[in-house]
Amino acid sequence: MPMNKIKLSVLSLSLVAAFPALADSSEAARLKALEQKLNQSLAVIEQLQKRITDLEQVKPAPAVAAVPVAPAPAAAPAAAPAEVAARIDSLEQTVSGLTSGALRSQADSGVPLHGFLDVGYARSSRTVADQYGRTGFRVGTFDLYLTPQLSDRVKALLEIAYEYDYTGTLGVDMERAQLGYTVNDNLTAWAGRFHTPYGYWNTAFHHGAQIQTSITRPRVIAFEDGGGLLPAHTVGAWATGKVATGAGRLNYDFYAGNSQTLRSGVLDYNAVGKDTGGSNVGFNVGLSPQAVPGLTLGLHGLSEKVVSNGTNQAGAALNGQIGVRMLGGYGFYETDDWEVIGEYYRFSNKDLAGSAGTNSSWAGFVQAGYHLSDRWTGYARYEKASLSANDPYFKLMNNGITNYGASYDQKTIGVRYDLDQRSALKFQAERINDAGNPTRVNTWLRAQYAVRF
Amino acid sequence: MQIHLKGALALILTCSAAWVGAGEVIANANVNLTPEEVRDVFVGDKQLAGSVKLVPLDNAAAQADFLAKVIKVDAAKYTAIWTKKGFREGLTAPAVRGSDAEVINAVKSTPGAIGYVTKAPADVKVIQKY
Repeated sequence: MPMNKIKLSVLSLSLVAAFPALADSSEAARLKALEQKLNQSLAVIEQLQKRITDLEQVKPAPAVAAVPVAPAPAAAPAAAPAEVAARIDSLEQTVSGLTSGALRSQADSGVPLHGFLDVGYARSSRTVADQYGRTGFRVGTFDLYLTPQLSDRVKALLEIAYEYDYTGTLGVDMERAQLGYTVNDNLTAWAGRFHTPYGYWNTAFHHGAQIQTSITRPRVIAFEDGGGLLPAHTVGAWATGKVATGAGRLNYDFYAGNSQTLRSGVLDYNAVGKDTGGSNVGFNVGLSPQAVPGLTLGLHGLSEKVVSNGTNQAGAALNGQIGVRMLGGYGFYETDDWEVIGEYYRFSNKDLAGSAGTNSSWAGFVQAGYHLSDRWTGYARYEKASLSANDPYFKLMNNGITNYGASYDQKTIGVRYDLDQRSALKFQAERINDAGNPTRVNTWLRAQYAVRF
Repeated sequence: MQIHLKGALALILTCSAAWVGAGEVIANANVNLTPEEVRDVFVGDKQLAGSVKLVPLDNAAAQADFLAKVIKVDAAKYTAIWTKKGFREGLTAPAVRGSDAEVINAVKSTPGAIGYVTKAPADVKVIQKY
């Protein structure tokens, strides 16, 4: 008997050691205790059922009835199985009710709204308050997006961005309005307005200031109304997915949409049908090799016929037609310590309306970020655009106010401090050598407070 | 008898140590998945099992252990993964349940559901033990 007690004690100790989660919280402990009671009660019922079956098989056998039935100390009296069953039913109904209530509550709460907001301060070395030098506090972008799952395979992505341009005019953009259908795990088809899937940055961060390490995005891939050389958005159709291969995961994007129009020097993505020109087609194929976790290397390309119209500030016509061809590559590498992004764009644009022929240009950037600690990240970026002055595509971007088609190079350094998982403070310095800037060389000091919700 | 008792004690303690922090991935009866596919489900790379739309569920009471052992990331990284997934691909992060009991109940009653618990009951499909 003492030996049995010792064994029982050892068993009890081992069980306590086996379930340390019991101490996690009082709520967990309470639920655990309920589960244990439930299990004990079920054990009692099973024993009683077995006992009844035994009795039925051997009756009449009165001696058997004298054998103790329920060894479990916490069990209800064996003489009241109906009461135990009723209590179990009650407990199950309570748990079921609580859970279904929680599920119902979530379903009734609608589609979650997500978003980004950033505010900050910027100081330029240029004293003229134009787009190249406007010092002061500023509101960044207020971005809202929804991701409703409309059925098992049908989904939508809706995004609206509110932002001021350098003149202080508030702009509201339907950033994305896309409807998707999940064909299978390897293919999702989208239609509508979407972020053009070139490189890595444009689709990964876009207006999400809090999720991008730096304050600003590279000007090489600026938005259309902020000096963009390429359409940051496309209205059309997009097939995207990933395929597992022996070498790693292959990510792909193929898309077609309205070609852009250069209106008075600024790209317009033609949201409601193209007025002139043709369609754009593009691709992005990247491989994430198994051998190097965190690395993705890819190729991207875009082809479209762009029509230019409108006038410059002096009233001169900015007419032209250009066959834009872009082919390039990109890389992204992320580990616990590092985040490195590089993108390269090679242009071979053909003048379709004049005699400028085919002109080659290129643009690209590389940015490296290093996590100095859990909260601090230092980063640096170099970007450069070497754009042909003979190429009408870039030349027609000079409207007398902005000249974003000019060659430039920029060096950026900065530091980021994550206040928590949803907010960050960033400080950044830039030095820009811009052929389109009247001052040519400009420096910026920036600070930003960015959140997501 | 003393040797026998020591052996039993050693065996029990070994088993206990092995059980510390262990867990099981469970799924609704209509879900067919391999253990190798579990990670893809919880990082949004796998949304369907055959024709069944998968519904991953996080368990707040067991998440840290699951993330460390199965997903191989910490909570901050996991959140970042889903933030980017949601923003780029329009996916919704797994709903969070507060305990084993809640996850078990939801998995049983929701077609396509997959979750993880510290100990699965006998009447629930177990996909993986970790």
